Amino acid sequence: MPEEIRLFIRSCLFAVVVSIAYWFISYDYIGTVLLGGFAVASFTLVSMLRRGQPGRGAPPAGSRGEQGIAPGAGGGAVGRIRELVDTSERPGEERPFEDEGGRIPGASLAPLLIGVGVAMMALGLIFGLWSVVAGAIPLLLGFREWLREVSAELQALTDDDEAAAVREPR
Amino acid sequence: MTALTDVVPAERPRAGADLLEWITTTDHKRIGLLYLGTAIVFFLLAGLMAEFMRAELSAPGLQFLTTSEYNQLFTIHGTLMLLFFATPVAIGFGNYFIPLQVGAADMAFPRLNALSYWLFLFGGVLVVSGFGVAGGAAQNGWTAYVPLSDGYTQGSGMDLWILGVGMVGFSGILGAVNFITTIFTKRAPGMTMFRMPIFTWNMLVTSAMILFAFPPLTAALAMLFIDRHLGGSIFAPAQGGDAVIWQDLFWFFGHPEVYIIILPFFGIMSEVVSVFSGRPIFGYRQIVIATFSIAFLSMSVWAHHMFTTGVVNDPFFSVMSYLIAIPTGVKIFNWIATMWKGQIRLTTAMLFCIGMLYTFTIGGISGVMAASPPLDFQFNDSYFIVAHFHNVLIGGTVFLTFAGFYYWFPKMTGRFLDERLGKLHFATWLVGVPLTLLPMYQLGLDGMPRRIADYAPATGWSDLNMVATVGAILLGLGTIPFLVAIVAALRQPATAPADPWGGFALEWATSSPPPAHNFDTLPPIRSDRPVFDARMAAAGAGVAASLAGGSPAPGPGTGSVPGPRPGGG
Amino acid sequence: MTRLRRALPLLPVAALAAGGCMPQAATTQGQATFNLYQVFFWAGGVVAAIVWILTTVAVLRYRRRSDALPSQVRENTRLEFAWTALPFLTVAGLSVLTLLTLSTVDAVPRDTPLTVHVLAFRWSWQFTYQGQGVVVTGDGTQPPELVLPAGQTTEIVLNSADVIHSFWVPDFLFKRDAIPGVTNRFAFTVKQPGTWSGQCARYCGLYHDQMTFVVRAMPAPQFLAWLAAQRAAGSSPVPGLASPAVASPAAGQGGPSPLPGAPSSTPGASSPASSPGSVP
Ligand code: HEM
Ligand SMILES: [Cu+2]
Ligand SMILES: [Cu+2]
Repeated sequence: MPEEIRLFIRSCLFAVVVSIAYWFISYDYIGTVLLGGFAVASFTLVSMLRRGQPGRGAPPAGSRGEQGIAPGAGGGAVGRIRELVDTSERPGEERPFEDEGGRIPGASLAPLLIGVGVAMMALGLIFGLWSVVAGAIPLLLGFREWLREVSAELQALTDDDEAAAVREPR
Repeated sequence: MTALTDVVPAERPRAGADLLEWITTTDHKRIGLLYLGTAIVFFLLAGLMAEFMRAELSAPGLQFLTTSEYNQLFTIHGTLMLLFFATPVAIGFGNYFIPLQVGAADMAFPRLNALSYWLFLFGGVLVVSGFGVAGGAAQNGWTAYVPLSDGYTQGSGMDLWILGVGMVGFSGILGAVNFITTIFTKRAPGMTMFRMPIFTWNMLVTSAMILFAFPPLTAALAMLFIDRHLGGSIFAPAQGGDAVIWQDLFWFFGHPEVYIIILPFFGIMSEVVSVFSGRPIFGYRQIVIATFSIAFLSMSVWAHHMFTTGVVNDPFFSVMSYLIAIPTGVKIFNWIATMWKGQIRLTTAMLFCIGMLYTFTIGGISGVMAASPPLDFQFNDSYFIVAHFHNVLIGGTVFLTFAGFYYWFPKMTGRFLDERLGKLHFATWLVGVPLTLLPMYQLGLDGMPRRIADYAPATGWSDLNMVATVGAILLGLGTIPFLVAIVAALRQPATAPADPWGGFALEWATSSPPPAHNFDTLPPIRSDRPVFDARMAAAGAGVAASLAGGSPAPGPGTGSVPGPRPGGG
Repeated sequence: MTRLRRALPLLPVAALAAGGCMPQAATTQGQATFNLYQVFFWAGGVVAAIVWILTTVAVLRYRRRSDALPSQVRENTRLEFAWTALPFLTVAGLSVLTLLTLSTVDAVPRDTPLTVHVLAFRWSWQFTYQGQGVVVTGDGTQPPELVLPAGQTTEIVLNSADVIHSFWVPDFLFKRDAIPGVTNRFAFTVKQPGTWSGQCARYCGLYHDQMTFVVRAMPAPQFLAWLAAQRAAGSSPVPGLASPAVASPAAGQGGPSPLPGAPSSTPGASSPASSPGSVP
């Protein structure tokens, strides 16, 4: 199991243990709900990360190639717990360095437009509806620009797919 | 039409570069610089407010400010320092250096990255603009306790505060998602999680904490807004609401927040101390585990800010809070062990780290004291607490921010900050911090509450307050050499080599400043110090051979000697 | 020079000692806190000294002297275990002491001779002596006086009429929040007759800094005489508050309407009058 997932499994386990302990120590429902929310959020992350795991598309760069139980860990529950504690090094994936230079998005006005829109709409909540309406304009323009850029990039990626796959390592 | 342009600007970013280029940028390095610059501006602004407050408190009686002005100042000072300086400055360093340290060309979501910056900037503008509206800025402290900030506060200053803080919170969540995705998916070949530099590790853990801790704040702010404007009574006890729930929600964010603004800086500490001691960070794995422990535990101690409410389980939160002291102490010992038997170079960056070991320690110890409910019954909301958190924030966050600047400035700009000015800067701050804070501890024990604009002469607090004010002025003056050094450096030509300090992590494997796509080539990554390995490999087979067998796997009682692997050559 | 260097680590210790004197406690409960603070202070001093000395020695001894590559050792399990275990034992010890002291400080005996209901409001205090028909209300012009018998345990029942305040007498080494909708109870035993100042510690709005009061403890006979004199003088400036029952838990539920059209802007002009009990 890659370290990325183990990190959140640990936080989930911690949150579960602490929220149960907290409940029986304090019978305070607010705190228990907050700690429980922490557990649920960690669990959600774990399941999302697991879904994105090998078998589906490329593994995250540098993640451990191999699956299963860490060396030295026994099987069963004990082994699984030991694996969570284990932090030993495993070889990194050998993959040639790729220059991503051509693949990062260029300049874009969209973030600023959205930022301005959000700020104006926030002001509108205080000072009057007109500012909410006015803020919606840059916000929508920003979203449109953003979507336009993203779809252009996707298009270019598909066109460029083969070339990208055989890109020469430097 | 296509946005897949090859971003290789002919020029490096320089002062006075085309405004359009900066406001449309999605380059993580430029966004990082924007974050850092903006955060420093907020720091200076909030620092100025601190000087006004200290001037007012230097003697009994109201000299310079009205009560309401004082109340606005501490509220906005605290808010700016925590949410618009300390958090964003970490995000700024993270933006610039995480992609470099993991060997990526940019963040995972460059546009989202730019959006986080704009939300942060405009959020700050909203908070500060409160000074311009009728009734002034928010004046309920950075904690904005209800029902005071609910039905008892009129004026749009408070609303501007709510929305501004909400925006920076949202910006933080977007930034955290971006960091986590970058670290999970954009690491270079060979860069396993346990070969990441400590700074990257700490930013990862910090981001996870932001993800867990900020939503309760956003929710609480939304509820407060509903109460104030949409007829809600969630926090209004007179209408059946609950005044304590705000504190639970706020501190469920607020306590992790204090670690959010220290962990990234612990990461900077680890980088600087190991590079300038010429040694690998001692106990890499223990430091990473300590970081996890701090993060997890910090999610379950929020009510140590509520000991005096009488409605929380004091023993539980007290013991959990003590536990955090252990991983924090572990880190301090690891840093000292890193220096031990090293070849310590006393650069300004290193001096600030050493200074941190002296000053932060007092703040840490007073924190453990405050985790004891009976003692906190005396400390809470007194100047003892003001001294405690300034001790950790100045001694930790601010010192290490400065360390980060002196250390990474050559990488970011290609220019060095003047070391003589740097040492002057360091010396004034090292003297100024205890001069400002030690009197505050005593004032707190003697009974001076925090957040008071004035006190009676009969209290006998005047002398210590005067000393604290002198210290604060010294800190203010001490900042001048830093600013001069920055301005002076930026007027020089860029001459810094790729690796001026003999660095370890990947940011030193590319030019200073790096090209738009960061790396033309990467050294092989076989440990957490690829640049060191490459340097050793280049330095000769003799050294390499003697160290070849080392494996970083720990064995009981044995120290292993990792280092350059011949495979790296 | 070397002498100076050796004295160097002592300097901050002296400075810390100068910045960390807890006042003597005026109550028996505060005495427990005071004792606990001494333990923490010296334990903290030892920890600080260890860190400062190690840091100082490391910096002085391992300053760069040559270009030689320093030792690259990066792990030592025994050391790492030691500096995890020692802090653990330290905080375990401190936890035990803390919990013991906490139970002393928080203890509210069943039958205290005197119970005073304290109602905090912006920006003063009201003290209602339960069953005595005596009410003292601050009017903002000068700090109201909480008069108590020395040597006897007094129970305080704490409420707020509006926002959150905090009842703090620094020389008692104790404070507790006054929260609308929450009733807090605590007790203390003033050791000797005397006068101490108290102040609201929880920021409560514009004139928070002026929300002071005075505690005066007198020998029991004198205290009874004081009570009688107050009763005779008909101390009950606020109609409806003569009965101490009013400052019961329900009192906290009251309070000015949360969106006061005109919150009093002058200190002292406000009064919790007519609010307690007006809301079920
Ligand atoms: C130049 C050094 C600084 C000085 C002289 C200073 C001074 C002050 C003063 C006088 C107060 C008001 C205390 C009160 O009335 O209760 C205050 C509050 C505060 N300061 Fe600072 N400060 C400094 C730096 C910082 C830094 C670097 C941070 C955080 C990174 C910070 C965070 C805060 C916070 C959170 C508060 C509490 C605000 C509140 O009560 O809501 N300060 N500071
Ligand atoms: Cu906390
Ligand atoms: Cu008050």
